[in-house]
Amino acid sequence: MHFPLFTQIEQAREVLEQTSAAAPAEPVIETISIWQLIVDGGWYIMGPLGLMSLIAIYLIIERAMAIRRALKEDKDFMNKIRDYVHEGKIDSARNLCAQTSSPVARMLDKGLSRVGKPLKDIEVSIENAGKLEIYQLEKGLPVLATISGAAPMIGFLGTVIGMIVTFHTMKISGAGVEIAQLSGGIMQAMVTTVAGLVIGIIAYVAYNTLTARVNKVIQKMEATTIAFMDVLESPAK
Amino acid sequence: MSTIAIQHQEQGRDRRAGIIATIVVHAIALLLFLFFGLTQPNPLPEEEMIELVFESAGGLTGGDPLPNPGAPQESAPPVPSTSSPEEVATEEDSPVETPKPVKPTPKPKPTTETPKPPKPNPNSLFTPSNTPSENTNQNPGGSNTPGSQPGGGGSGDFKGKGFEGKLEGRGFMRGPTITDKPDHGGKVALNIWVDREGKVTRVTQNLDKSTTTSTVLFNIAKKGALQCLFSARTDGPAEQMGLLVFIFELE
Repeated sequence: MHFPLFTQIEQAREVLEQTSAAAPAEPVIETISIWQLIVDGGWYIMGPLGLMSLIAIYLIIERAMAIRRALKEDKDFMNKIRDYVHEGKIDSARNLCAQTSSPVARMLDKGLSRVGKPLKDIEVSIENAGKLEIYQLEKGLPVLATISGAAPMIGFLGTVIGMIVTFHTMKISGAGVEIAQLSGGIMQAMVTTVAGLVIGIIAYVAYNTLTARVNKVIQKMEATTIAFMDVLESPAK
Repeated sequence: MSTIAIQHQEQGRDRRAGIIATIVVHAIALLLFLFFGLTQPNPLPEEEMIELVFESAGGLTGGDPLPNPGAPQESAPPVPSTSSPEEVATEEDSPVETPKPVKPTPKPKPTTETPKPPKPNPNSLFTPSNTPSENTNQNPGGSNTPGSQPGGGGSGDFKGKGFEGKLEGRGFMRGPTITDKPDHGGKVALNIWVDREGKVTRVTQNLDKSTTTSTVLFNIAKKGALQCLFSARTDGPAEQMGLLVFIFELE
């Protein structure tokens, strides 16, 4: 059963559709958010990359703070230790080391605890304490290095998977394949590559920076050890 | 408080700071990802392009542009013949076509004999049009102005079956014989250069007045144009430019 009014509405709708199809479309500014791009990347690639990003940022900040504290220098610290040792106030020197929170202080505290024993034993104990401190400083850096290398590779894995998806779509669709069908796989390929490279680059730069700063701490510890051994070997005033 | 206890306390502080900073950094990144993105107009703007037309200007000299073939061409004063032709330093395999030096004719002889009409080729697309199809007068030179004679002035227009053209002050003596049958049609306009004896020396495509860029049609038209013969003009320029348009229509 047809109602005239409904027929007219239907005809008007058809005319409107035809008119809108014929008229040139007004250009509209379309925005696709970066989040949408990330979602297009696929959870099985973007998920691990996101986890790597979390770990990398955490390690970068945590290690940067620890290393910055280790590099904090009290210029009078070594002079005071020298004075205490020459005056025979080993306990005062150890108290000073205990109050100073730095790898150098902890290392010297270990050496002061061995005063009275052969110098060789003192040196060995300081070296062992130093190794522990270096281990503490470098903790987490291998993970950062791993992320800097693995994140781009995971991104490339996403690229390959995306291209496989694209070619699979082409294979299924044959000659009638449309660009819109292919764009999903290509989009995934590009997004995962970008995400992997961004995380990898950040981790790589941070790893090298932190490693350089750890080397600076190590160099400072070695210099302090040599100075401390000189103090122990030099005759008291 | 022992050194180890202080160390543990500091490590705990670092961990907390690291976790908080990580959360803050990722939250900011997430907000940026949500509110910022890539913008582009839909539909995409059409491609813009500029058409470049390279017209031959002045031959090898690179000097003054050639006169407009449509404009009436003034007959150049007779050039006194020089003793030796100009030598142009060119390579043998140079892609640039150089005008061959024209041998000076000692004395122009007005030709009174009309060339014999070539035998019509039954397979040809165009019949030789030295018997001008559109010409009302009996003078060779197509539809030149009435009374035009070989070597005479006039508007220079001529027309034949399947072609038409313009060459100031010349009569049309012999038309092209085209046997090729292309599988597509179109209009091919050619700029032709005619020497004093009326022979077509060289041909270039005039894309402005052509309706096709087909190489096949151009080659056929070029072949036909080189067969054309115009009336001699001994007092004219060494090379005179004209226009020849071939119209290919599918049967």
